[in-house]
Amino acid sequence: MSEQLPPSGHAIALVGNPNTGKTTLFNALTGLSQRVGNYPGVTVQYHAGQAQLPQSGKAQIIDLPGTYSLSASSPDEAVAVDVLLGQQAGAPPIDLVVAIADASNLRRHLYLLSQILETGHRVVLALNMMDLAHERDVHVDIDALSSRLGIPIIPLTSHRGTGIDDLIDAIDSSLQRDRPQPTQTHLPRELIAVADELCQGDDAPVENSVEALRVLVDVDGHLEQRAIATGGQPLRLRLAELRQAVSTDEPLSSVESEARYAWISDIVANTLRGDEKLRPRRSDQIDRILTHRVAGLAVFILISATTFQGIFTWSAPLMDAIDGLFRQLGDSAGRLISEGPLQSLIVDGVIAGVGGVLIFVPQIAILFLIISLLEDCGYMARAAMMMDRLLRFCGLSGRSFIPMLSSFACAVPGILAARAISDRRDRYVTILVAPLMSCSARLPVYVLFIAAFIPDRPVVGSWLGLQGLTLLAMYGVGAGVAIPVAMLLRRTLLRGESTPFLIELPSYKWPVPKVVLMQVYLNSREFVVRAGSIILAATIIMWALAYYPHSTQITDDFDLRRQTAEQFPKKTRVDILKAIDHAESTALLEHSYLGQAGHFIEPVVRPLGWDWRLGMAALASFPARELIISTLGTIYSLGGDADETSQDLRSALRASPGADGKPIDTPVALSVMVFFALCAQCTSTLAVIRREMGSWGWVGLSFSYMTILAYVGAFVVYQVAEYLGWGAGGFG
Amino acid sequence: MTVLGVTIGEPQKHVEEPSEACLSDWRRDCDAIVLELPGGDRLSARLRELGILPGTLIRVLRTGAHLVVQTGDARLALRREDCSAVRVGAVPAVA
Repeated sequence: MSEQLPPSGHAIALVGNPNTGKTTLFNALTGLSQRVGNYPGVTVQYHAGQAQLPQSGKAQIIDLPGTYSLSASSPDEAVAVDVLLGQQAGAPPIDLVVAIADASNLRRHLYLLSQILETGHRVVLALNMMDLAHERDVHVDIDALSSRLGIPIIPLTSHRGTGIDDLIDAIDSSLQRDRPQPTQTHLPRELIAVADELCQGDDAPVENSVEALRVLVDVDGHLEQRAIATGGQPLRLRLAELRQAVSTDEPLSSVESEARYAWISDIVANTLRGDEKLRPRRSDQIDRILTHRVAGLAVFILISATTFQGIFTWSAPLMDAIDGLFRQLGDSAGRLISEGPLQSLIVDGVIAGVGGVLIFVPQIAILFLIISLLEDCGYMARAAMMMDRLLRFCGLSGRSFIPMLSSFACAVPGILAARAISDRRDRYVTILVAPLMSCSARLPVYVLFIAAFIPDRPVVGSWLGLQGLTLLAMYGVGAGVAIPVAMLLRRTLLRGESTPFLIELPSYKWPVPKVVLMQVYLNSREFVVRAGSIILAATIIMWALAYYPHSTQITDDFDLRRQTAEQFPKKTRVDILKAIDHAESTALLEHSYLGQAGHFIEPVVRPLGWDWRLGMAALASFPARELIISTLGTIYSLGGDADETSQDLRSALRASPGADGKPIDTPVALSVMVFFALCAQCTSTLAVIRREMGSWGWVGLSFSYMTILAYVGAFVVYQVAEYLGWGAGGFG
Repeated sequence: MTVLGVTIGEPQKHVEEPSEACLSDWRRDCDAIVLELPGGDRLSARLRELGILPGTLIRVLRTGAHLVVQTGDARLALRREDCSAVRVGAVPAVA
């Protein structure tokens, strides 16, 4: 959490199955006070916000990731379980649990509730979707159910805001009461006895009986792994013995689920009516089309195409506005600060660096707007199901679809979304290939080189031109390479059986604007903060490498030339002075540490068709690939204020001599683009990989495999394009 | 008839045969009762948590590479090959 709340506030956890309207309820309870929690160095994220209770005062409400049960199978679910059991470092001890359940599908939602009741927390049940239950003739006798469960039950329709005040009152008065005794459900006596035995004694491997139950039942679950990490082989053997003692013919997970559903049947007997029949719903009809083998795929492609189109076209005016704003800011700062290192640091380093990050916010926001809309209306689960066929071919599952899709905006949120993937190998492969998806930071590179070197020629009528086709091909390169890479990883380093795929298809509904906008806001803010801090730091370092050692001999030399220019008439003098300025910055850059490094690596990049300047620009882009635009601007004598649509930069690139003295041509441009499509030039992504995968080894692997692929890819593309005679004059 | 507390009413369509089959081979839009569910693996453990146990009434809403199975008010999507070990049977006629 970025802001810790005063310790006096009560901590309330919001727990429930996915798709129960939990986020809507959370927004209703906390409003705009919410924060995304993140602890550096740990894979933990949860949303928390504040609420004011009439009697109990301030409370911190924690929105836990949706989970079907306390048997966590993904890192996301593990967080929910750990917070509930008081095992999560940095999370406060929970004073009350608000369990949210779907009234129209109550039985299943009581499963998680039965597990929560055993923890001995104060519990309030928020029975959501009462309108839907009513529509489907499902009747719940709330008073009878409440007395049977021994907890307050508040009927809600959270998306309409009804019942929220009652829920706040119930939370408030429950906090005034003592903690209840843990509820006894129908678990077999032997199982409870064994769990109790496991948590007794001073050297017990687990703290309480609920945790002990999970360690026993969830074979290979995260709690068992944690216990064995300290208890070692003796504990492993003891657990096997204890499991045998409870049941020899059935796995304990089956024993547990049967016992719980038996308890649920008792609880709902005479309190729940109308859920006996399997009722059709309108969503089933929609799914006939949207998940149809042919029509469904067509809709999916249409939605994807619209998403891409939206990211690129709708964001353009906003991006231009941000760009203009930062340019003005740079100009004003340049006037305020006298010339020298400080001015260059502020204008070229800090302002250009911050602007370079913020310019991508519109694209990220639009992508998240579309993703949140699709997610909130229920389409994403269908998309994941349909994409499962393709992803399974690569050894992954449909669960990897959303992380991959997000990575087209930015790999950082994409990698974070992989937390919902339960299988570790699937998650790791997804994280390792996600950075191959062409993120929005690659777009400026493509735009610049395509506009400068690819002729604007129609290919498919007026609908698709050669330039558009090249852009599409660049997006295809990353995604296409990801397939064999994932397959290879799944057969070597992350070998293992493909995991089963199971996903719930929620009922379609209209998206809730508040939920969607909140997602967009939180994700964009996270991107700005996370990417901003690293990219900013990298920009400043790159600025220093491109500025120092600042030779006074060069500046003196150019000052002399400026004086000579004074004798020309005013009209031509302006142009001459401009040319001198540009020549000066080129000379200074060539002399800088970065320029020296460019000359040093020139033999390495020559087979790719690059000269020292392109090599240096690629080198300078390793901290963050978008740095190439400002670096190229400086290199090609335009000052650092060039952007990818700048006509000057395009013509300068066309006119400039490349390797062996010949100008940059189509093969060189293709080689640069392919290199950027495949290379791991993003410090933020590597930092997130380190955090999510927990070792520098994986960071090393993903950096090196991508860089090698990029080099080989660029080499092949350049040599083939040269061979085909796409060089100067031959192609355009 | 009552199975695990669920009173089974009239099925949508009455199935004559086959009276028992793999879930992956069950016909679309036909109600079925779960007869056997293998234990021990992650998928069946999760299916059980979601309320698919021996005796549960289900309906197959989609067939093909991925099945969509209705249980209660929920729809679950599964790979066809993952559920070949689940055996289901026709809903007994109400006496």
